[in-house]
Amino acid sequence: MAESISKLQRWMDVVAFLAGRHFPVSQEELWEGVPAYAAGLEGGGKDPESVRRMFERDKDELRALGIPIETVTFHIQEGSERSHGYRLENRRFHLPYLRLVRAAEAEADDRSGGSPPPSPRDFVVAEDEVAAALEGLRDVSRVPGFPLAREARSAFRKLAFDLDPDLLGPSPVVYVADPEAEAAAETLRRLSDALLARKRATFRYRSMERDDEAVRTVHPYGLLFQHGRWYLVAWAADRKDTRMFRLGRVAELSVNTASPGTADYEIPADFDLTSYAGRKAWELAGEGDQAPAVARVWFRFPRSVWAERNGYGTLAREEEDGSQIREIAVHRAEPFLRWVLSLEGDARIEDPPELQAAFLTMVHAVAERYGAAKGGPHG
Amino acid sequence: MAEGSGTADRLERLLYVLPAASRKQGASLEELADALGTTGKRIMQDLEQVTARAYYHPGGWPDDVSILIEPDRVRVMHAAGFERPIRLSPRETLCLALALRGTAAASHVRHGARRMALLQRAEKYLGSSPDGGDGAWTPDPLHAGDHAPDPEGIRETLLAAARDRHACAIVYAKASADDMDARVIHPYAILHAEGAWYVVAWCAVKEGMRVFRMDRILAADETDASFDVPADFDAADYVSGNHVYRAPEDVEVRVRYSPRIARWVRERAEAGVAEWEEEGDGSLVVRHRVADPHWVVNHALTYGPDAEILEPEDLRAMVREVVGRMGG
Repeated sequence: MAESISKLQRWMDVVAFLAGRHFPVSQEELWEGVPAYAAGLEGGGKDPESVRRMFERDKDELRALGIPIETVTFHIQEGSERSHGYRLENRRFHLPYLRLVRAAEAEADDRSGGSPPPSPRDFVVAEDEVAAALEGLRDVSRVPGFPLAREARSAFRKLAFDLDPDLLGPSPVVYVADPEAEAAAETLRRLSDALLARKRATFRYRSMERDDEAVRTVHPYGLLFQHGRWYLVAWAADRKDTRMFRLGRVAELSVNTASPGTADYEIPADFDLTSYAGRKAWELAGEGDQAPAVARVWFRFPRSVWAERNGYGTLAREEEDGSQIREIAVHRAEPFLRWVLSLEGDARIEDPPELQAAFLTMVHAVAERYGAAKGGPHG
Repeated sequence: MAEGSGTADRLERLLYVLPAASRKQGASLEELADALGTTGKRIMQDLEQVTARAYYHPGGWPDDVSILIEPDRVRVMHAAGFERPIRLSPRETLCLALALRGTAAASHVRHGARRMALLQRAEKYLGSSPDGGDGAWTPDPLHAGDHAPDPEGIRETLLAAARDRHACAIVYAKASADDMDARVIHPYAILHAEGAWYVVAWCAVKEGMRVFRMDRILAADETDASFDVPADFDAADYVSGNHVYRAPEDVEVRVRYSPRIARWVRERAEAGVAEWEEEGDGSLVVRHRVADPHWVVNHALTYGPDAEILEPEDLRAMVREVVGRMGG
């Protein structure tokens, strides 16, 4: 019976049948050559339509797994008739051989505009570069909650296939498990599927800024891991603007399942996820969306060097003692003031006066908590 | 998951096992299981499932292959179309792009440019999409680096030193220090926890193990001097819950968080290891065990007046002193 041939066997047969041929094969040839289809037609009591549907499903699923089965049109009867067929081209199916070269050799190639592989079966790559790629893949697969960890591991396996297993030593990088990232892993996986298929998502979201909970409908534009947490960057239908959502605060997620093969939206060509990466809490546009204030902040040496090394604002002036005045764009005052406070006197707001005054109010409020005698403003 | 038992998982495993086992010496079950994150038993089941067929079925693909199964090895003599792994799927290509962009972003400019050139070639020649990318991946939908800007390539230098086991000369600024320290360290491990990077290293100046926050390392140079990581070193010893932490003695600190932020703090406390209790007015008191009391002072200040260290008293005095300097 056709049913006793497992789906896995059927898939292997389809792939092997197509991979072994240089020319496209017709649907009829394929049905005859793949035992499960042939058995279904001959003794299995299936009509051609149900075999066709089975093959269509198999083809779609195999393509989704990265097996590039092409549908091609070709001519038969000396060009007088057109027919459809299927093809699995070796050069698009099989991974080329990785041929390692020394870094200098590869750099010379890059300078000359990057030469193509000498043969379609070879992929020439510098040893240090492939090591960096492998290390990067190993790294992303370990980021807590990373939704494509499985794909990162399989890409690693494929890339390492021709290489000396000792090329890459043990990784010195350790990601400490993060409870929030792990709790959000399922949400993250579903949102990344929605994002890659461009499907609309709806969820309940607790906003810290407004301390309320609301149902939000969004078009996911990107997922971002920073400050140890995952964020969704999405166009929010209710705000008609792009917003960041912390995944730990997303609940009751549902993804539009209608028309699975069709995108619900397009990501604008000028959207740049990296421009959201590394943003500080005070750099995030607030709900009110006011124009940012530019704060001038004095940093004591060596905190000034630290601010420079970590990209806090831009240098406005440097003093002889190594201290610096840096300009920082502030969208949201409160997180900014709390951050300056946490620098424990290594930083001071010089301008604008409103932020300066708000900072002193915050300092006094903290002093009051600890029962400190109130003093005058710091000289 | 490649680790799972669905048909897609089995196919994915077989598409790796067959080419790996068709190399001259075959492949050991242990290596295969290790690469696939599964067990040797499961790999054997996959092979059995795909090759076992009822006699009355016309032969399919297995008729053309020979598979030798030894107690701990698999050899495929003729893999009939499965001699090579398949190209990278669009999602795998996306992972490679993330990996290369991540290392490029954290690299010196020269390396960064080479990595982006490699990425372009890889998308074209290693990916399975018709024209080397179907456009669905641009603009980049994922960003997993969690790296601060690092134009000097400090992170990369430290990583390379840890990987090559070369001592590193660093310039370090402790919080609220008046000056910077020059030190030579042996970086054993690079840790990421709660959004920050740390270097766990043996410090030649202090002649002992130290944990350095990467954002406070202001310069780093790899030297030629090599070191060995002691056999008993375990990075996990420097982690407690989700914090990077290590001390022979620790201090218990109680911090009260105002009702306004209690819910958000509780989220973290529930997820972590801290003990907490709610007070009548809705505020939250959390007990932290800390190695470095200074951490708590800094932590409390990041919440402004919404957090208050209740005890010990010497930490309260530290906060008073700090806010006094700021005009409080």
